[in-house]
Amino acid sequence: MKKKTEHTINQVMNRTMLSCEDATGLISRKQHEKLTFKERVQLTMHLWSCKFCRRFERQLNYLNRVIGHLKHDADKGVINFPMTDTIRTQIDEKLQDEISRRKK
Amino acid sequence: MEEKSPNKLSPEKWLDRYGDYLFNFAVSRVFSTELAKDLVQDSFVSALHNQSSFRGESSERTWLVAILKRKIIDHYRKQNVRKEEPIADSSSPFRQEGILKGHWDETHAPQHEFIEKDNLYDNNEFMRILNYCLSLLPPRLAAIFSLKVVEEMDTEDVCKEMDVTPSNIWTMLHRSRLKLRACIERNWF
Repeated sequence: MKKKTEHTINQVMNRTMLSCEDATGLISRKQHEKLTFKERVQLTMHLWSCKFCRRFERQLNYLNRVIGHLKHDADKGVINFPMTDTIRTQIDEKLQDEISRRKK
Repeated sequence: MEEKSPNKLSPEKWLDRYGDYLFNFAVSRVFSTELAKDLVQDSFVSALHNQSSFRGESSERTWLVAILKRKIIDHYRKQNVRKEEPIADSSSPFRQEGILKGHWDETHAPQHEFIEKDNLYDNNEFMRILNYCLSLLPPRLAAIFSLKVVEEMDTEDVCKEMDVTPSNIWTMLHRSRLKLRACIERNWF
């Protein structure tokens, strides 16, 4: 293909098609708010032909689920990060110290 | 594990009764065991000095968690989130020039699926890596990510506490996600 033709095609594509940088921005924003109709169409079209961005979206969705689990576990009292003995001792010492200081 | 009469606090029992819960809670919000330890410690001390503010309307644990949450927010407020982000992100995974400008740089593009089938969530190693990656977020990004995504604070409250606009928040969350998924992929696969 002649260089000039290829360049023109790229220019047209760049003007109408989303870049991955823009697409991932939309995918991120979609998590919090509704995209405009135009944005949704542009994103859909980009995702049709971009496996990386499709995968990015799947990875994000997965991350959201896992982070949600982490948080809800913590709230419910499921312990994913227990105190080490060292940490427990350190907190204990500090707390006992403060308690005895108040008694004086 | 019953608490005594409503208005009575038992500081000498706090660590045994609530230590694990509070510590785990803190780690889930600040992504660092060292920092979590400091915050739990500070919360206990603060609670000790403010026992009169406990009215018995909530449980002892709820009251302690509220103090811890405040400590966490105050910690993040110190991160100076308001400073402007640099315009050129040197670590962008997208090509910055040439015909393919804006496209994924293939060496940084998503290569693996984080599949549900393996039930990564049940995998301690994965959780450890997730937390590790969260701990690598720059302080400003970590603050917003923790408050908005993990704590699920209202946007309005995050804006008030951190002196940012909603638009700042979305931008920072996006940058956080790009870093997180790249870090996880690097370390897990």
